[in-house]
Amino acid sequence: MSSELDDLTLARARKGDAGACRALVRCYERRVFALLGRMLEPRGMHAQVEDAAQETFLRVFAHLKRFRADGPARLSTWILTIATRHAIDLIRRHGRERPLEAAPTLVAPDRPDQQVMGRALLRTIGKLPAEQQAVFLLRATEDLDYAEIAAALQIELGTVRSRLSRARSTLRRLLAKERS
Amino acid sequence: MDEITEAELDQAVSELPARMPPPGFADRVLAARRPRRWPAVVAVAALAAAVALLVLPRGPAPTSGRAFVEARQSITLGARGRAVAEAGAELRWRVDARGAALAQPRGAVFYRVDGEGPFVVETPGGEVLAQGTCFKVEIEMKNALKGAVIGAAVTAAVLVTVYEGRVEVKNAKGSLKVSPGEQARFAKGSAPTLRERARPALAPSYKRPVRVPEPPPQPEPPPTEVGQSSPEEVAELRAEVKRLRGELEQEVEMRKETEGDPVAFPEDLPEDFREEGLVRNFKAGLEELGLDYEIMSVDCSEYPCIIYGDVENPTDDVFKRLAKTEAFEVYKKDTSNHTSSWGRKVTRDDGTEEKRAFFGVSLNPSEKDPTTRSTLNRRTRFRNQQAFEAFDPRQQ
Repeated sequence: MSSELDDLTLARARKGDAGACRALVRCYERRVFALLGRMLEPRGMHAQVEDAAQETFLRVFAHLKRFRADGPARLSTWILTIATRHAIDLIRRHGRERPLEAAPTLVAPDRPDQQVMGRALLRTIGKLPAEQQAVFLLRATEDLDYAEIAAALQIELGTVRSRLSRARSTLRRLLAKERS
Repeated sequence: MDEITEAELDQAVSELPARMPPPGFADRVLAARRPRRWPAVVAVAALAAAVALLVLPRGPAPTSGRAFVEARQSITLGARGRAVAEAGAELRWRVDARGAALAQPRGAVFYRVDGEGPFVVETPGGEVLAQGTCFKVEIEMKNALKGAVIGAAVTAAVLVTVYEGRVEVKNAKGSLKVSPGEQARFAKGSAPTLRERARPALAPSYKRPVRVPEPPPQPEPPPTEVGQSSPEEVAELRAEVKRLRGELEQEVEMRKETEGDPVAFPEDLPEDFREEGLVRNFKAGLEELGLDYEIMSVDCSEYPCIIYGDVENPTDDVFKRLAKTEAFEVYKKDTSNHTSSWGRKVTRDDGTEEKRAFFGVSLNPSEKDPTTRSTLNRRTRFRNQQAFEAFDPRQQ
């Protein structure tokens, strides 16, 4: 997991320094892409991942002055929160509009095959409700604790627990179905 | 059905594939940031203007200007009075519903103030706030060092003479109220002091009963020459030039990183990767899949060639299926590709709709050198993006 941006670079980015802003994006882009990819791709929204990542960072820069480095949230948690909420919005809109899906990237024949279980999980994750999917990913892949997830999604701690439990149970059932 | 344990689920999580950011993504974010500021600035400015129109008291139309005076000149300050500037004076002013704000960096100017509201003259030594009607501000430029050569540091002493009403002069060191017949002297870094009483004869022609004739319309002041600019202005301009130069260098650097440099065609490039071979294989592959397609353009102006077209009723796996066709057998080993596509709905003549996917695909023999490979990736991505913007029917 990548480390946090140092305070000096963060302060420079707040003032709009281009080099520092670039460093901020580079520090968190992998995590943002991974999260958004896992939120959107299982629903056929491959083409929207990059746009969503760009929109996430634009929102980060627009509100960076409001982020409190001495507050309870880490910068990474705050950025992933913005990405998650944006992804949930996109999924809800996608459900209403059903835009034509972009064709996936042509797979190069020499590309190494991905792990079978990982790919199966990615497929099944898209069958969860967006809110459950977000809780599951923030906990399982981003290692956020329950309180951080509750703050990120503005839900009760108990709701985090119940959604996580339901998500894991559904995924186990769907994965078993895939395996059989 | 076999049960999946919690441990197996955790194992699957650790194997979850992760989408990677494309090269140059950070620069694209930064580039996308800039244009956004302007709509926001314009919106805020428009909102502020609208609020100002609704909220602020309706005053006279705002007026502003700047004068470099060569011979005595009378200047109308909107509805707030008149200034008579002596040769050598410089004056900038802005008068609106909020008041009159003037800057007098040099020379001697007599002011006659009319109307209500703030009337402030900014001088090198401090501010002069009119609380009455007639006063004169003179600025004396003196070499700071006795016998100093031309161009050495100069100080500006400000002399304010009041004829009617009252004036307050103030700077960081203090403030002073000046009454009719009194003079105040002050400079940057020294508090204002009262001097000898001004003789009324000093400005008889400036007295209110005497009407100052309307000056002929003044031509626009000529552009300031370097010799006329103050050292502060020159320093300010140099700093601005330096800043812009830095921004330009950064922009050039950023563009280079985003757009990449063109790569030369390899001399021994097989025919299947050249225009004719690509078109032939693409057509054959798409026909093999039984798809209705159109090859719209092949860009071989740079290496690698990019083939653009569209196909009807695209499915998620159309390109995967294309890669498995017999026609694409030649690309199955040691081949790299870049594929971009988006779907769109097209309305037919009979009013029905069909789905089509616009695509841009490049194919080239896998590049062994990592630097060239990275340059190719960046450049092809940039070319694809350019072409998509040009072809995108949503833009037309």
